[in-house]
Amino acid sequence: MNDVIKNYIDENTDYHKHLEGKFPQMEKALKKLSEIGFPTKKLENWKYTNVTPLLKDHLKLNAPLDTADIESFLIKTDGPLMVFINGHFIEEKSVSVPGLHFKVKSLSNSLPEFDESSEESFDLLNLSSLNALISVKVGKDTLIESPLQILHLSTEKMNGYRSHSRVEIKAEAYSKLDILETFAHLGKKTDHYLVNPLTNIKVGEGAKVEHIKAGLDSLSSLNIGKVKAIIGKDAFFNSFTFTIGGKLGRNNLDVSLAENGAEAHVHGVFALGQDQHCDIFSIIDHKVAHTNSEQLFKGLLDESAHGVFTGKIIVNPQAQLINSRQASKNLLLSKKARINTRPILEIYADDVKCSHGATIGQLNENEIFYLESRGIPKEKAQRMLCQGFAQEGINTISNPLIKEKITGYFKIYLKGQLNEL
Amino acid sequence: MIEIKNLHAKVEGNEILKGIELTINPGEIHAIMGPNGSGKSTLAKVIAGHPSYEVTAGEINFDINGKMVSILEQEPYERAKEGIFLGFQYPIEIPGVNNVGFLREAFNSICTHQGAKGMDQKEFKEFLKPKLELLEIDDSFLDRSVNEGFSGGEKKKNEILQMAVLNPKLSILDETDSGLDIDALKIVAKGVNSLKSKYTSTILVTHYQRLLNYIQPDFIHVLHDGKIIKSGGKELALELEAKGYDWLIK
Repeated sequence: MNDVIKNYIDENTDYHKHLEGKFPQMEKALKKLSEIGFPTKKLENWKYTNVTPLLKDHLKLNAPLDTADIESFLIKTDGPLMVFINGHFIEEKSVSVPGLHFKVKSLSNSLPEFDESSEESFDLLNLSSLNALISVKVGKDTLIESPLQILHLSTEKMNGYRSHSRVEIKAEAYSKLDILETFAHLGKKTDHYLVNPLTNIKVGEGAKVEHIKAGLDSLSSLNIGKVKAIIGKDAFFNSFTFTIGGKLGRNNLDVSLAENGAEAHVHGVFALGQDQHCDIFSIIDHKVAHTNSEQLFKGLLDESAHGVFTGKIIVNPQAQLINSRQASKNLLLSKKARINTRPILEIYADDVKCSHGATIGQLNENEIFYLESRGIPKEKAQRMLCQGFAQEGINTISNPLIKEKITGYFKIYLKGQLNEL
Repeated sequence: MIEIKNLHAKVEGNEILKGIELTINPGEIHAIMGPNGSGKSTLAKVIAGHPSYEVTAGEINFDINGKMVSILEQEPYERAKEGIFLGFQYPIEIPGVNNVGFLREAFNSICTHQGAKGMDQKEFKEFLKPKLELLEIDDSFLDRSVNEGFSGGEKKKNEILQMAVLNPKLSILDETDSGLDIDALKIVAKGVNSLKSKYTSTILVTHYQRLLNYIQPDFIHVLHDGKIIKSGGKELALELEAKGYDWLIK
């Protein structure tokens, strides 16, 4: 065990001692974490992302509660709302609506079984650090009109701390739910903290769920999280991961097409500058026949930013007659910006359609000239082209209110105002 | 309107223009003709300020507020704001940028420069209406991405629409007729003719005489190997159509 992880193990061990009751799952997770440690670049899955330097200054559990003005991060609707501030679920700010039930579950009756095969350090850290679980359920045949907003807000008091949340969302058969999960920050750009969320989504038979993650964390923070979705028979899942914030982001997307007719679109845009680093690690697993997936990730990288996209598509032997399309398109806006993009296709069935493509380019001189020749100044022309490039991605969001909100956040990037995050 | 003197220009190290002399007065239409590779498109791009082309000698002076001013140091967008418009031979597709948004951005940018007030979305749509009718363009065209998935004819109509919106002093139309069927050619010509005035000038760069059946030029120049080797009136086009370029080159 190296020194960096030791502090985290010690603090969690102590935390477990003070919990009311015994939680073997959490203890097992911690034990496993102490064995495997934090990931290093020697691991294939973490080849391009080094987390250790940013975890060296020990980030503590249980950040102080704080109050904050959350309005600017919300879409104005009368829809359901869940608010976390500095990792604490704020029940009085949260809003439920008919048809959507949410519950704060104590650890004692809700912890999942520990998965012995789990090798993912930040899943283990999440489980061994939890203080509660939040569960959301949309009943059968229920259509929730306004999007469910889940806001994870960090304030200045989060500096030096870490938060771990777990939200379980279940959309029952033939229901429909749109979710905007926002990670945002109110404080100084130097606020250094770790957000480590896990969002579990189960999409039941014939149900439709759209999940948009907006990453607007401070420029000194880490956001290492996972969205895990299991898609049922004839169900549809539309996922969009949007990142402009954070010093280091790792978005694990783990989508399982579990039953016939399941379809998932796993899209996203990351737009980075300064020395930001964002790593998208996506797995789409076609478990059975007649399942479809589509993926479009677009990266815009300016200054010394570094983007990483891994898109793994697994087609199991019994998963015949599937369709899968993947595209990773990237725009380098400066000489120092970097992108690593890698499709990984593991196809074990023989009657499938799978395509993938990756492009890395710069702004096209002829496109800039075309706009300039119409009287549009060069910088404005470049911004229009960046906007156009991102828009193809943002347009995959189907909920118009969420699309508008994300388009607005993208303007922060376009205007070079990342420092204001 | 514009004076070009001893203009030399190169691209990627190759000298393409080798001493162009050309003066155009307000109200005139000039056609520039010539075989492939003679430098016609290069001349058009150099006037508009394409960054890949380097001017190595000579002058381009343009009428700005009644004075002839060198524009060689001006950025392409500055030239556009002063009233120079280039209709592209191959209009560029710009995915994700909405056509009407782009038109309004360009229009307002030029308005602001000329001290006029810009238009909001609603006013601008009203302003566009007669222009769309003139060019027989469907409304739905405005909400598409700039030139993306447009047919050849639609792209060229879009160029003329931009010209009609920006109302330039000098329009340079680079091979606007190429790839157009007869109907589209007539509509494009109608657009150009309706914008003609005694205050504006046009340069038509064309390979064929076909366009000149619909737009009457005042002067015709033949470009060969980076120089104007022959100038004349509109009858020169017919002669070229009948005899080709060889008799001039030999």
